[in-house]
Amino acid sequence: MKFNYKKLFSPFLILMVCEMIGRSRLIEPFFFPPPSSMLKALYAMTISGEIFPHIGISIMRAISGYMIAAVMGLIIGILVAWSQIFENIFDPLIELLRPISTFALVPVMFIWFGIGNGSKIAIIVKACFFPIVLNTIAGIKGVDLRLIQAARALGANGLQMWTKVLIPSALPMIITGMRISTAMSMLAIVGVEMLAADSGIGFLVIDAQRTFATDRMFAGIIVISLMGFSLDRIARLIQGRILTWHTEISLSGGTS
Amino acid sequence: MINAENVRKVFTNRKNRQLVAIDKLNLQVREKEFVTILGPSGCGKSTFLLLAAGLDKATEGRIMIDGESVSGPDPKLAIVFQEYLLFPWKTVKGNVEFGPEMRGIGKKERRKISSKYIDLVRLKKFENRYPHELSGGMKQRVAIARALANEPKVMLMDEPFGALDALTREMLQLELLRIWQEAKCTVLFVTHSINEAIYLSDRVMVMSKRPGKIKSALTIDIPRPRTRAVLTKPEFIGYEQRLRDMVWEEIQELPNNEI
Repeated sequence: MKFNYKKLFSPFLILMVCEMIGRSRLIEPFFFPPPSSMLKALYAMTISGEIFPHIGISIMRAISGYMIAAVMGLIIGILVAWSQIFENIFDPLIELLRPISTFALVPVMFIWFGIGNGSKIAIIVKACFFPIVLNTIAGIKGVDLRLIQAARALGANGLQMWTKVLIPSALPMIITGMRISTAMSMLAIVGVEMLAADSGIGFLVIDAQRTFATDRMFAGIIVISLMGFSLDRIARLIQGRILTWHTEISLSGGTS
Repeated sequence: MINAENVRKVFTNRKNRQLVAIDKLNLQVREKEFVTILGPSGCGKSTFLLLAAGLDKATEGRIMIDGESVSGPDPKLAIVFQEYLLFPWKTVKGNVEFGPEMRGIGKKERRKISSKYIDLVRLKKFENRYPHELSGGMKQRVAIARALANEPKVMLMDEPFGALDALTREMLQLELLRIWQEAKCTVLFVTHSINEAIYLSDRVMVMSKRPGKIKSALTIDIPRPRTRAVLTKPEFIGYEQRLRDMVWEEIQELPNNEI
């Protein structure tokens, strides 16, 4: 992946325009601080070190929830794709729980898990679980029947069929689900930390707003953007590593 | 070697309507023989190959290989499909080693087997490539090597060159003859190309329209090794004429909307 410097231009231009609007005082700086003062606030928070524990705790919660969701999603996805019985059990549950907004469950999670890390991790699990489980099911069920036939003819039996054919073949879809979920985890963690938390990057933003420190508020939002961006980059990198063959097929538009 | 007795295959669709794909099919193939089944499309020739490979069950009758009734997939039966069906996440080497790997053969031994067959299909230089990096002809060579890596007694080939352009097709036909002579296995080949059937086979069997059965067989008495020169010989043209007549008889009886 090569970095295209031309893509720096448009964000930079927006920053310049914002800076000019901010400095011209067309809008009250309280509502719209110029980017330079946001960056100043961000710099101050970095130097004092106060921002790092917030970033750290947010990432910790996001990763824990994500991991639990990934393991659950994979196991349940494989079970559903494997047997009609599990499909009958889990499919209605998935279809009924999936449309519930993640944040509609926040009050429930607070009652069940308290206002500590538990409820926040549970919310992340809810946000990340569905893309992973649905992609796992679709990926495995979508494996070409003829390819399975070819594998059977070559001698693959039950378990080998799963480990050597079905799962490798479904892996691109499974990994796509996992990548969608990394973005979901970032969306959910910030939201839930704003609702009730005394730490984390979402708390930092809402706390700055409550104390009318709008430059710190925007600084926090910049951090959220950078965190989400980096996470997606890392996820893409891992995807590229695992699926070299697949990335190349999609780039060249060819098939096997 | 291969002995099919009164094979019948009936498919039942969702509306419970029955379709008789094959009925009263009988055929015998001798050891090391190259036999082609020739027939109009939809006559059930691919269906028969799946039955012979143990990938589907006959409704009635039985297929014996080496005196044993086929009851499921078996490493001594290999099948090559028109669509190659390579594993896209595996390299050429990985694809060829798949069969031995499934049979629990150790890494070192597997390596030996794969390099033997990759050499045989002349893809040494490409053994670490992935399928999407190969041309259609190369993919089909990999599929052939992958099938041979189980050291089968019978190789079943379902229109293997159907998706290739005319020139690649001709080249691979020659290659297949060479490979068959080296690997020394029995080949049951399915095609709707009359030319290809004569060029490759010891015997050509013509299948009737649905429900498919073997209508007639023709022994191709052209000495081997055969080269492209035989394509223009009078006896080749004679066989071509006779087979074309047999196949046409079948096609003409089909209602127009089934072609």
